[in-house]
Amino acid sequence: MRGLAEPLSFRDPDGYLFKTGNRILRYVLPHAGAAVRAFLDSRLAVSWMNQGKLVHSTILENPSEFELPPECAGRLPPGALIVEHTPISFRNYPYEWAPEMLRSAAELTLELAREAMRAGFTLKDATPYNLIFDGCRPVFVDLLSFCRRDPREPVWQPYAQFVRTFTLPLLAFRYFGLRPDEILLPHRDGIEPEKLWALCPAYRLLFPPFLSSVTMPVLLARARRGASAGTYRARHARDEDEAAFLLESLFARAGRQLRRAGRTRRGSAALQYADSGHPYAAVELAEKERFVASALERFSPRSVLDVGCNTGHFSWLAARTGARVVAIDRDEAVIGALWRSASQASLGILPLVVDIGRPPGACGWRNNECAAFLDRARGSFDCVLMLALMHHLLVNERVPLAAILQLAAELTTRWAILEYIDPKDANFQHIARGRDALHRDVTPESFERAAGGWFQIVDAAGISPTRRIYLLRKKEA
Amino acid sequence: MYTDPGSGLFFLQLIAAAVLTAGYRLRRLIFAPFATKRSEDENCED
Repeated sequence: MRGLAEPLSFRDPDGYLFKTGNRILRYVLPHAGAAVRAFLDSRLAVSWMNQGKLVHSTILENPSEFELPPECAGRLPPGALIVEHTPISFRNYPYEWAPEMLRSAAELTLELAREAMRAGFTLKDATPYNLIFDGCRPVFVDLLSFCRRDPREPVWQPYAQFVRTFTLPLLAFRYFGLRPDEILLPHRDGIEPEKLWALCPAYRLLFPPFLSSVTMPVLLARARRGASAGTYRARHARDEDEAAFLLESLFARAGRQLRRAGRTRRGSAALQYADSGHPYAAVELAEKERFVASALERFSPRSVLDVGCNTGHFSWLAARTGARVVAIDRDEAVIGALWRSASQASLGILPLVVDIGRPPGACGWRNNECAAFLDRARGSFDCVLMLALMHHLLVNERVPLAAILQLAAELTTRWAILEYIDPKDANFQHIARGRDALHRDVTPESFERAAGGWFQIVDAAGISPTRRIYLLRKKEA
Repeated sequence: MYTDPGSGLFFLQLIAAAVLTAGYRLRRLIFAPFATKRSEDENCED
């Protein structure tokens, strides 16, 4: 039976992505078919796919009726193509990335743009939505972003988009503490220099990196406010070498701006907390590790969601057992640190900045472009870890105990490892700030009773007088 | 092209391109005789 074709994109004039069952297919319109085939057959594209920089893509030479979008009415028009992409395990969006990840995606975008230019192609748009992180690695997924280049074209049209969606959000984070999600979630096409101008103290506007990324563009925009459409006409260099020289210079300049903007902020309080602020004695941490490692080895989950992962100590444990791990935390500093360490170790961990108390909802056109985090997570994991998290949800979010367990049950298809933290715990009391009466019903018994609604308790161990860890198996529906 | 080319950032790119073009052409003008000479030398060595 034919799966329902669900269009996943619509902005590109050359084609669109759609899903049939679990397969990701791209319909390339007749006018673009030959160019896409030439690109996919090029040594450049093959080499990128082999290196994992470009999503693996195969042209379906004789697509069946089931592999066509509805508009084809069962027959592929002459010149059109159906391209199949290897699905990426857990879809993620730029507003869920740590700043380090945004910078890494920007570096890959620039690298591909430069290599494409040298090979006679061009990158026609430069937005972080062209990339998805597959584990720790950014992968360029928008095949239609590459097209043949006019060899004498000296201007890279997407330069402004690159600055708006990569460089300026990184600058805003570095200098004003605005996280990428605060910019990229409400603004699909990034942030205009004018907005940073308004935030920036006057003296800063006179010096790099603001001078070239903010001050000059804002002043030029004001000076050329009456510019006509002719301003944007195609221009030509005197010859191909001159055009290549200008584009190489532009990419080098964009790279320098990116490096300045993307420098890591020093002295993050959150990271210092994560490094030394955990409440466990060595023996307690060892017991917690032993329990989690033993559960993971015993049941070998294929995919693990670590909720409130902090610096990812237990994500590492899970990844070492061969599981694909998605690790989420609301603190971009710890997610950035986890991304750096997991990248260096080439571990299968995808760290994302997600606050489980307020997970990102569906957004984009008709709320249909970017799926809600929980919708993507449901059914994707056979184990969920919620360690040292419960008290934050109980106290800061005022979420009832039963609702936390219900969420755990929604997020896993099989196993859950949860840490119970008693209201007498020092950390619990620290964040409760005297509001003890609000949590007087939270006891080990009430926890186990609530867990019993969705799970069977397989194993449990005390790791300290106020903390207990549980291995839970989800009850069959 | 369906990407918004921006205004100020686009003009900045045009101005940078104009300045670089001038430098590039000047450099080619200055070094052109030497480039020819070198290639002649290389031919002699062959």
